Amino acid sequence: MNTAPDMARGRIGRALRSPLLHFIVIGSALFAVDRIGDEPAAGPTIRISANEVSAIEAEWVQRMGRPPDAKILSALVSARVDDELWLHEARALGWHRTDAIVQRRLLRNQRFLTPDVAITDTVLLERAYQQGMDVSDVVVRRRLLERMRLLIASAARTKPPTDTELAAWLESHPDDFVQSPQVKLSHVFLSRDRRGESLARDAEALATRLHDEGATPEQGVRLGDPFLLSSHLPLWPEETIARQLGAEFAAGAMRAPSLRWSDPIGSSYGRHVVWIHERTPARMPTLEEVRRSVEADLMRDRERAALREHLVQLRARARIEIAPRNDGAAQAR
Amino acid sequence: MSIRIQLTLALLVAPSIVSAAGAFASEAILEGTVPREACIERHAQRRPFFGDLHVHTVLSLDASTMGTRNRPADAYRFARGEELGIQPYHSDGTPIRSIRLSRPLDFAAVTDHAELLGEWNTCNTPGLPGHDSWVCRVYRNYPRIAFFYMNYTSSQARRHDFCGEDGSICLAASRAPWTEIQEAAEQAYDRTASCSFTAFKAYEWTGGVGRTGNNFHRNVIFANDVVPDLPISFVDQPILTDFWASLGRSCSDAAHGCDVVVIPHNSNLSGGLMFQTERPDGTPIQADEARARARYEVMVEIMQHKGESECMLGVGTEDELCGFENLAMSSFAGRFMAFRAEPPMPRQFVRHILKVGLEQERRLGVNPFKFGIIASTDTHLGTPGHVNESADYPGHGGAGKPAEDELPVGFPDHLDFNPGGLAGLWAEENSRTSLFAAMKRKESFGTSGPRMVVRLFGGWSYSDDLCASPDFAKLGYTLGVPMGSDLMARPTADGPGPGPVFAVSALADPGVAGAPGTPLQRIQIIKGWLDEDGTHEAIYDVAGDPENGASVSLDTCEARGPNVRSLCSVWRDPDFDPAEPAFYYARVIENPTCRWSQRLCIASGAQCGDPGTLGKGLEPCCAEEHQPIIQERGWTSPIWYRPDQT
Repeated sequence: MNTAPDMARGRIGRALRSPLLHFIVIGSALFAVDRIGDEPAAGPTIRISANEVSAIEAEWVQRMGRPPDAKILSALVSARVDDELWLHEARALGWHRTDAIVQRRLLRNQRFLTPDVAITDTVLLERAYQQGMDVSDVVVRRRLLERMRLLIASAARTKPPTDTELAAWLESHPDDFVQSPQVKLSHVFLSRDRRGESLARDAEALATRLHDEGATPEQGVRLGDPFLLSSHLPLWPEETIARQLGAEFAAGAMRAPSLRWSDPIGSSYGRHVVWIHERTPARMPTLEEVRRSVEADLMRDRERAALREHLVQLRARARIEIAPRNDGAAQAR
Repeated sequence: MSIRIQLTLALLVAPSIVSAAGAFASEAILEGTVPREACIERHAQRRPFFGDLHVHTVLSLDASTMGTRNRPADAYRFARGEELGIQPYHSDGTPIRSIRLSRPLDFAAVTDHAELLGEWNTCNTPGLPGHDSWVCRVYRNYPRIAFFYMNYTSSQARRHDFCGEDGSICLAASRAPWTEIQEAAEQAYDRTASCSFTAFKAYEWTGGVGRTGNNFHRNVIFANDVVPDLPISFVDQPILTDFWASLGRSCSDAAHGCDVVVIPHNSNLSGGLMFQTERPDGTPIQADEARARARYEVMVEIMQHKGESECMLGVGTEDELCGFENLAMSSFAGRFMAFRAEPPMPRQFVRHILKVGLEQERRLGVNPFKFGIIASTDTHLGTPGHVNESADYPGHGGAGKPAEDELPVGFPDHLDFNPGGLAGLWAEENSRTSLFAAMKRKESFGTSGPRMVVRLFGGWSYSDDLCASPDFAKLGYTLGVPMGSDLMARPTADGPGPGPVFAVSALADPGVAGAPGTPLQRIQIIKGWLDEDGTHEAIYDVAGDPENGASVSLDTCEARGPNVRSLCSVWRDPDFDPAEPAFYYARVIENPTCRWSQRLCIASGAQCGDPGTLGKGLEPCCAEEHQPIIQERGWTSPIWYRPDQT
């Protein structure tokens, strides 16, 4: 099967997955984050003016219909400081001038303001910077914040978790991974649309007949009304059964006895007599069964921790000045 | 197609995944380059799976600027049934709202816009600094060389100038999002024998005309893990034919396991540009272009947040059920600049385009517009499948009203937006191989949100009592073809003969605990055909009762009427002419229900007779264009009749 070009492409595919490439990508991210950490202790000065505090407060009033208490206001201002700290880092990395999306946004703004096609992009970009558009534009701010988050988050992914760490996570988050009870069933269907008033009576008669004749599941399903979906369901939890046949049926099926015909169980479509082939109780999976999910959850948690930790470090270096509110109450840092 | 192979062979072919393969039993199925376990569940007669193939996250700039923070992995967690926060966020980063699907999805694809992914952008956008750097020139002309060079340079700790002094632009800004999209899909895809969820690698090619806002957007869905190094964006390939050629070079023709389907959406906002039969210079398209389109564009998205694209009453049709979730404009520009609004035209709608396909096939010998049907959401909140028609519809999150800093007062979104629809695929099992094959086969349907199930078969010899048979599907396949196919050759080659027979069966949405799904009102067969005078359409009610007396209270949304849970019919075309090419698709109609907007108006206490109850932002409740009552529906893929087959 493999021709030479195929092999070449296979190599490219492998190169993409190669540990070396991953090493380079991750290393670069680490390097950038590291650089942030190595900057001299004289960090940036973040100033939140009295007007800005008032604006933050007004926003909250508009959103919630009541003024924030001191604790909430402090949190709101603190979140603004976080944004400014990250924006400062992004600018220190030069992203406000080099990021393709930022440039595109600034150019678009300028082209909108200046329809003169003769002016080059370079001139327009410079104009945008002079106007401080890279600081004020909401899309630029979001883009820079998003890139910072991505950078820090990817650095948090460098060290793969050990089995011990994964096992500990699984053990401490049982609710996220516990496997629900499952049943495998066949059902004989009687249609409400077809039978109307006699549905309940017919279903009782059917259940009795299936039981008395000792019908196998295969024989049984031929005795019902036609149903668009399969009469045989694989080993499914209640929630999956409900998706196909409704909650009422699923709840009834979970309670049905094993290896014999049940009493009629209702659904929105009619009534069903059910044969449970097999059932498994709720259980905790082994790490091997859910390794990928556990790893994803753990890594997501690490990312969040890295973002928090990074902010703590930035704050330790920065000088943060928050103007007193107009009423004169001092703001804690 | 899946390739069943012995484990040893899997190890030879893909040595890098030994650890993953090691966990499997002696037989594994190879998809792309990654093996998975065989599914425990496999239905020879196929079963329906529900999903969403149009999902945006924070990686789409329009979503992020609307305040969305959810990432691709979050979107997949949501699709699998986990609770997810959505904007706006408190300043400590916790979301003000969180939502959860009452029923998880079976499959999903995150389709973020490819156009804003970093240096890709730089190298492909004339005018951006770095665009004319020699690396970008190499990249444009010799992408494979550039790929190695760029990585080699990185490994030497040298950088390209355009990447910025620390090189982080190229590494983080471009590869990172595409890698993240891929990793999220790989992570969410269940490769165990339970086969509980499928995630596709995908993106959106966001074509448009800036001046008019006419859109010809397309979603690009990949079959497996093998995908191009970077997504091919509109910036890179703005001409459709070039885009298809590029997909061929980097994927379908590359013979390394890559395969792809392209799904156009929102033809209702295309100003007629979505499905062109002429080139920009005015000359008609030729067979090779038609073939390329038919090869890639096997499905169309018929409904989503930004409206329905099947048909519009008064725009080339008198079908009274064509007034459903239509937008009253022909392009985005019409939303923002009323003077640019042009009247809707037939070419914006899928039914019309299916007819145009018949004309083109007569002219070219190949039908460029041969679509399977799906629906999806186009959520810009990262919340696939959140289609509830409820008062707390959180809005579209994209081109709608921003919820960036505060919840909009009153309506969360434009009145004419809706919660979107779902894609239904008939497949053997919930795996990439099986679902992707269903897409290629067009054995699909779309719904406006409800999880109704519908199945259409076409043939020449189905018996009238097929609906009473326990072997409906088996006979459907044996004696005919499923939706998405061409009818088998006519048994009587000469003379008029009897027309084709269609068997259609539908189940009402089973609903959730305490809220059973809405009953079915009727099934229709919609026929389009071509004769000497041009194209025509006819709508037949084939099951159920349009006059079933079902109604809904405008004050309480309480529904009344017969509770029909299933409909089935075997129908023969009474007006068949073997000389005329035709298509047939089924439309399943539910009893009337309240639209999300009416539920919101009731919950807010708005009463149109009493202006005092109309709080700020609730004005749309009483607007003339407000349609408080809708009939939700499902559409099957068509079955085509081609005279030359006989």
